[in-house]
Amino acid sequence: MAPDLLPCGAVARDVAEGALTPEDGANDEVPNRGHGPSCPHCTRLRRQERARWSAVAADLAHREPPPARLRRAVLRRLLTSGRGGSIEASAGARGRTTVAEGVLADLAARAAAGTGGVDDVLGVEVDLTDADAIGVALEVTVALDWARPLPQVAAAIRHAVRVHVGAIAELGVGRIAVTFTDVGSAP
Amino acid sequence: MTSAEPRTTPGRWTGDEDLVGRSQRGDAKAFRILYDRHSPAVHAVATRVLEDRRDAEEATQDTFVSAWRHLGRFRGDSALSTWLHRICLNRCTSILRRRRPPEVALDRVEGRPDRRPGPSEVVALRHEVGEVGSALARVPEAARIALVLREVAQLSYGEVADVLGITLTAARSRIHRGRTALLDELGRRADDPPDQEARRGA
Repeated sequence: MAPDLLPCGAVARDVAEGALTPEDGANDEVPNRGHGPSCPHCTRLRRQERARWSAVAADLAHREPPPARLRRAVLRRLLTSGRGGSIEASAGARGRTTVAEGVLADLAARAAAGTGGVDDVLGVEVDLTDADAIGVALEVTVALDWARPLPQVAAAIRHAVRVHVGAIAELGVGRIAVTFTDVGSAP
Repeated sequence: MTSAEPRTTPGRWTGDEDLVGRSQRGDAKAFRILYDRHSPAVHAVATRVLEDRRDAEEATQDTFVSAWRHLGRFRGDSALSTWLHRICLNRCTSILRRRRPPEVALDRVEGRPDRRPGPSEVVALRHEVGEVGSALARVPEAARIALVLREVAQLSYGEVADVLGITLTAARSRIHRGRTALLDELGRRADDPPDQEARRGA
């Protein structure tokens, strides 16, 4: 099939494709891009094609923000993705027992999740820096259940985490910081 | 002057380099700020490459969990966004591969289905991701990915080349092919209304 020609004789498809070359013009994909700016036919087609592309590019550049539940899911997965930090829970003649940071974070998260007044657990950070001297330090980030008294919920979380991590991992738990960063939806 | 670590809390104004350093030392708060800063672009790229919301969320999630785990390997030779997009595209490629049916022997290739979305899938896609999204799904993969990095993530040509591990000339060429193919698909769509297309596929 013969190519569509503009009245000036240039191949319409070549001119149209040439109009879409990268902005710096350093593309050799379309060697014959039609006539120069003095040709009204080539210039008009180029302008039309660029306008068409601008509308499509604006659509592509539009971003829907990632859903909030995705953020929660990522932060929760980080909980159990410790990067190698671990602590010795006990050492005896039969060998030592070591607990990874991720396991401690998971235990604390489960304990906090089971506490009344907690809508969701959003993150747990484990600090083993002074674990031998004053115990494991934890920071628990949660979403509060709608209209629950904040100080009581924080106290209940601290109690549950201390008991749970202490009983299961047999580790001393020092400071437990509780951060509320969200509130569950109203009933 | 002391060489001690500054004990300030990272905030939205803290630069990527500082946040990466803090994250490498285990500061999850700093990583959370990096997530908030870069997840919109990563999620948008995954959405456009995969054209499926659930798969895009999976790819985004895996990208940041993998980045958190392997942040120690990030040496800062390229921008953090380049590194994250590279991880994201690897994940997207695995998901795309998972979608494809197993390879068949060449002597059984007769009657093998076309892997591009069929008419009824196109109608469903158009409803899910819009006109441009469904046309983009029909652009060949290599050109589509380069185009998405340029137009959706708004990376420079050099960064696109860096993410894909190709030359600058090849990146320019793929982006150009992507633009041409996308406009072709949209033009074809305008000549072929969805009802007619669906009927033809029925």
